[in-house]
Order: sequence, then structure tokens, then C-alpha cells
Amino acid sequence: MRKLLFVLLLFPLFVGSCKAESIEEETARATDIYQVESGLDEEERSVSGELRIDGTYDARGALGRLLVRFWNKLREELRREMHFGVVLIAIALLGSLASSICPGNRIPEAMELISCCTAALLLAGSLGGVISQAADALTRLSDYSKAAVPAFFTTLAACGAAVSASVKYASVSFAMDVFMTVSQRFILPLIYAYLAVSISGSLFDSSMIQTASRVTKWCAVSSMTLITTAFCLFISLSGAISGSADAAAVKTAKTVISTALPVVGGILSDSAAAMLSAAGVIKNSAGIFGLIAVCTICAGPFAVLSVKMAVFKACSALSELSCGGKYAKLLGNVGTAFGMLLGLVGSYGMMLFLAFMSGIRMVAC
Amino acid sequence: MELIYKASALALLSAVVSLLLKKQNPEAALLLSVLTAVGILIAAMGLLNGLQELREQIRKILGGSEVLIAPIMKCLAIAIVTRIASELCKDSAQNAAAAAVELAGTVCAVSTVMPLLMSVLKMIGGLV
Repeated sequence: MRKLLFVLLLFPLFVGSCKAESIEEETARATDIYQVESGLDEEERSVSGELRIDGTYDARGALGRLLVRFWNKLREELRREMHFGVVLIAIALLGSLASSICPGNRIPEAMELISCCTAALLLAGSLGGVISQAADALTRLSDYSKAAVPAFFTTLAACGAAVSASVKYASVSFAMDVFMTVSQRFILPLIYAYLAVSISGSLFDSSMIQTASRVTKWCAVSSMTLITTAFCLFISLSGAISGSADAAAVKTAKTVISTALPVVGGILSDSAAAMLSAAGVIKNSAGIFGLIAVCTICAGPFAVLSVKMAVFKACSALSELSCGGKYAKLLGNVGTAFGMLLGLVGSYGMMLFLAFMSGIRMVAC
Repeated sequence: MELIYKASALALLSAVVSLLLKKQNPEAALLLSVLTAVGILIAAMGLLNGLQELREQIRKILGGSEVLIAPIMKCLAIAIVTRIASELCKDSAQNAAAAAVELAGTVCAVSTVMPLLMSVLKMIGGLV
């Protein structure tokens, strides 16, 4: 009796603490979900904010900061490009002035040639920088996807969607690699070729060059459309098929645990459900953080490329009124090339966006 | 705005006087036409201050470089001179001379394009 009392008195010393709120932190550490945040650099983290896995992530604040950053970048780029646009319009006006002075002979054609050459040489200075900026944006998105996507889909697997997570992770990684390879080896060279052919087309009247320009543009746009559409279809279909398998597996496991173990089965089943829910909260928080991170990475290049495209298209439309013909067409084609670069960065960003979205929408537990 | 009224009035007056002089002294009529054209052009030069300012602004935007804007200005000057000279030759029934002036103007304009064209072809080679 005394021994029993002695053991009962000493018993509390051997009992450890058990806190329910540490489940999320432990799950986060196990799935390495903080890679979603550490994959960003300092500047991007200042926009996206800090990842909070307890469901209190300030998405609204992050969206506000993102919009402010995008707007500031847009204004800065517009201010810079407006000067360039004014020069292009001035060249068009001077060209049309010379054409109106000597309408009968070949001088207007020479003037149009000079205008196109001048515009092409003005463009040469900034072209390489813009294309490398787009290529850098793609590399940045690729690096971020390599850091964030594995951690995110590991968390998705921890939610009980093991089959879906593995299928989606395989398809996302494969699609990202394919897109990156196709962009660097096929689409970017095609955009360079399109620019070269457009400039040649403005200097020399040749139906072959015009056809080559159309074919190059079609190839670049179709490649991007094909890869992005195939990715969207596959990720939607794979989610539909494997999602039901995961839901059935989780339900079966819960039933088996609660019926197989007579007393503690129900407690274990409930604990497992709590862990899956905790993983689900982390997954959703990380997913929303990932969406905002992708938008943050894309914001700068989007602002630059969209302003350039808009300015060139506007200059093309205004030049059409004054001098028309080859000069306006050249500016229009250059605007289209910037549009293709914007589409390239946008497609990659959209694929990453969809990858996070499909993970957030997944409900297995 | 006043310039165009004065220029029109001067040109019409010169045309009427030239018609009167042509029967007795065709050389004097031609000289009068040349002097009228030159006079109107010199008066119009004053309006080219705006063009000069535009040129300065473009030069500033392009970082002080004249290389790209100079051919456009040269071609503009060639167009003006070619047109005036050609019409004066046609006025004195010298169509061959007028055609020669127009051809020379075209050749000068094309020669202005050549350096730019070579640079652009190099740039296209670099892109491809």
C-alpha cells in the first residue's frame, strides 16, 4: 500500500508535456514547407510577407503590397518608354514630311528606308536587355519552382492525398522542365528570328520574308499554347482521377484503425484526423503564399514587357496615320515580339500558379 | 500664320510679273522665279526653329548622339532642294535638267541610307 502511494506520488515527475499546437510546427518541419518562403529573395519577401502556417497569413496585405509594387514599376517603365515613343513618332513625322515634299520620285521610299533603319538601330540598344530580362524571369520562376513545389506537394501528401500529390508533382516537374527546355532552345530563338525577319521585311519587299515572319510567329505562339493547354488538361484530369482514390484510402484507413483496435482505435483515428487537418491548414497557407510569390516574381517583368508592347503598338497605330506602310508595320511587329515574350513569362507563371491552385483545391481528409 | 499669307502674296505677284517679263526677257523671268523661291524659303527657315528644338530633344533622349538623327535631316534637306530645283527647271521648260536633278536627289538620298543599312544588316546577323 505504501509502495503504491509512493509510486503514485512520484508519477507526475515522469509525465511529459503534450501540446496540441505543436502538431502544425512539427508537420511543417517534417515537410520542409518553409522552402516556399526561403525560395524568395529579400525584395520579393518584403512584398509577400512572412509565411504563417497557422492560417493567419496576411494575404490581403501581401496583395496590396504586390499591387503597389506593380504600379510603381509600371509608372517607372512608362516614363522611360514615353521618351522613346516620342522619338519614334518624331521619326515618322519627319519621314512623312519628306514624302510630302517630293511625292513623285524615289525620295519618299529612301526616307521610309531611313526611318525603318533608324528605328531598328534605336531598338538594338534595348532589345538584348529586354530579352535577357525575360529569360532571367523564367530562370527565377524555375528556381523558385524547384525550391517550393517539392515542399508544397510533400505537405499535400501529408494531408492524406498521397497518390494525387505524387501524380501532380511528377506532372508539374515534368511540364516545368519541358517548358524551360523548349523556351530556351526553341521559343526564345524563334522570337529572335521573328525580330530579325520583321526588320528585314521592313527593308526589303519580299513575300517570302513576310511568310517567314508569319510562320515564325505562329510556331512560337503555338508552342506556348500547346504546352500550357496540355499541362492544364493533364493536371485537371489527374486531380479528378487520383483525388477520389485518396479520399477512399483515407476513409478506409480511419475505419480500419477505429475498428481494429478496441479501446484506443477511436482515439488514434481522431489523432490521425487532427494531424491531417493540421497538414491541410499548412498546405492552404503555403499554397496561398506560393500563389502570391509567383505573382511577385512575375510583377516586374510583366510591367516592363506590357509597357514596351503597349508603347510600340501605340506608335505603330500613330505612324500608320502619318507615314503608313513599312515603318508602322515594323513597329507593330516589334510590339508583337514583346507580346510573345510577355506570353512566354506569363505561360510559365500560369503553370506554376495552376500547380499551387490544384494543390489548394485538393481535399482528401 | 502671317508667313503663309505673305509668301502666297509674294509668289502670286512674282508669277504675274514673270508672265509679263517672259515675252520680252525669259531669263529675267526665270531669275525672278529663283529669287522668289529663295526668298520664301529663307523666310520659312525662321519657322524651322521648332524643328531645331525637336532635333535637340531627340538628341538628348538618345544620349547626345547625332548618328541616328543626322541621316533623316540630310534626307529632308535633299528632298527640299531637289523639289525646288526640279520645279524651277520645269518652269523654264528644261525637263531633261529637271529629271537629272530628281535622279541626283534620289541617288543622294540612297547614299545617305547606305551606312544605316549596313549597320542594320549587321544587327540582323547578330540576332540570328
